[in-house]
Amino acid sequence: MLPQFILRLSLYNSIVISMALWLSSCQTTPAPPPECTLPQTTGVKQAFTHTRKELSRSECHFRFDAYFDRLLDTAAGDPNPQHSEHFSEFLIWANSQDIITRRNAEEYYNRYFNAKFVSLPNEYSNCAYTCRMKDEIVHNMKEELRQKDKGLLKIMANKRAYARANSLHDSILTVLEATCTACAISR
Amino acid sequence: MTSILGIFLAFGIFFARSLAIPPVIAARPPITKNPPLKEVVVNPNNPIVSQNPKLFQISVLLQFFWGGVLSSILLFWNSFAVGAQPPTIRLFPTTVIENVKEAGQVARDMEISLQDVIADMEQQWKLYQESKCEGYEGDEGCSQISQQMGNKYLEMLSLMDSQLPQIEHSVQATIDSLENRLRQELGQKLTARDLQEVLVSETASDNQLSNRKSRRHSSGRLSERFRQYYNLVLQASSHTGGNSVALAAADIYLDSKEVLELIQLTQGEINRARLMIELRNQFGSVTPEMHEVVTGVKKILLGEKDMATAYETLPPAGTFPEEYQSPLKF
Repeated sequence: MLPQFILRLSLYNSIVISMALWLSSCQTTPAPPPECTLPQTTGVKQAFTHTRKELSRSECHFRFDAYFDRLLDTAAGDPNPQHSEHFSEFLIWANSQDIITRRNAEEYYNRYFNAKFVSLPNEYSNCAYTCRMKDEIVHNMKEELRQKDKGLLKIMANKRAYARANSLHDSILTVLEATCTACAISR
Repeated sequence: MTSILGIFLAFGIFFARSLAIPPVIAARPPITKNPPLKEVVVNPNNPIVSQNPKLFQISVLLQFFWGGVLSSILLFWNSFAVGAQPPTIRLFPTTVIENVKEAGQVARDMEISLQDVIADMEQQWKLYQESKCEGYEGDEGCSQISQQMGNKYLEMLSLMDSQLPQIEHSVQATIDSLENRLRQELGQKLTARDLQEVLVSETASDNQLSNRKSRRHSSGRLSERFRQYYNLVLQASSHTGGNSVALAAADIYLDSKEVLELIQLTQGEINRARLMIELRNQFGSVTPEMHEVVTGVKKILLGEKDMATAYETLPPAGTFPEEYQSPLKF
């Protein structure tokens, strides 16, 4: 009797243990998160809608730059002066969703859609700081002018605004060169 | 600060007195010699004083206080209003304007004196070439032409040698005065972003900022260049024509530095040429170097005749529909 009982008990135990092992191996693996896809459409409104939907997920926030570049390319395919308004609203929305800071939003907007330059430093005087970093600033301004070419000219089709940016770029560089030459003489 | 507050407290007292004079004067007791100690002569008809003299004194003091506070507020309000305006930049004091004018005048005098000499040399050079004198210096006619050219060349060198230092001095004075101003006003007082704001605010008209082409490396007579600088300075100083003061100063400063370098190079060439002539004693031979120097002098002093127009016109402001103003825009 006793050995039979022990046999049954061990049989039950083994069945229970097996079932427990089997159940633990069948735990649900979480489904992989959907990829953060860039908008593929050529329509600007659809591109913005898709981007807002994707960026609403926190796991896509790190791709903000890629999304913004794609939006720029899409808008360049359909030039319209009202695009600056769309981009402004999008950046304000992104800031409200804590995807980017207010300063970042201003920088993105003004780089592409304002004739003024954000690459210029504002912390210290020209003699003390700007002139020591002149080469870097000149390089940054050239890069920013290319961005304004894309924003003002290709996206907004605003030749006047781009001409103003171009002229401001030349004027700033001329005045900086003169100022830095004068600063260097005093050293 | 203490003195300013003191002044405005005085204004406050004045305002307070203008409000409070009747009761104050009425409340003062008449001055009498050896006034009685026990009696206090007070106008019994003054209701304020008669009812509560201490309250009356407090109200007078309060009037003084609020008068001073009001005046101080007015002072600070004005200081904020002044602070909100863009910085005033003084780049063209009278000395700079006079230096530019003088440099132009001196250059003009030199151009006039050299024009005849250079014209004669050109004629002789043309005759020398047409007579096919190259390689035939032994020929009497060719030798005579060469000698005349050599004399004219020396005359030109002497003229320039005597007048270039004067131009150099005027240009150097212009550079020195502008350099100080640029360093102080733009270099030490402003950041790069401030500089941009100054340029944008000074050329408030869209057309002028868009139309500006660099005046640097512009060709033309030296005197004409300085005359343009002078007009530019006058326009910029009076804020007419939409020209930026800062940009005009930068253009003139950088151009003047280039001119100074050219003048110094020319002086070096003149000295070298004179030395070579003295060493070789070759009054009669026309060397290619002589011709190059003459060409260089013509380029610097007389320049090219044609000058492209500096400004084009764009459609006036208001032609295009109003642009969207984003809250993110500077």
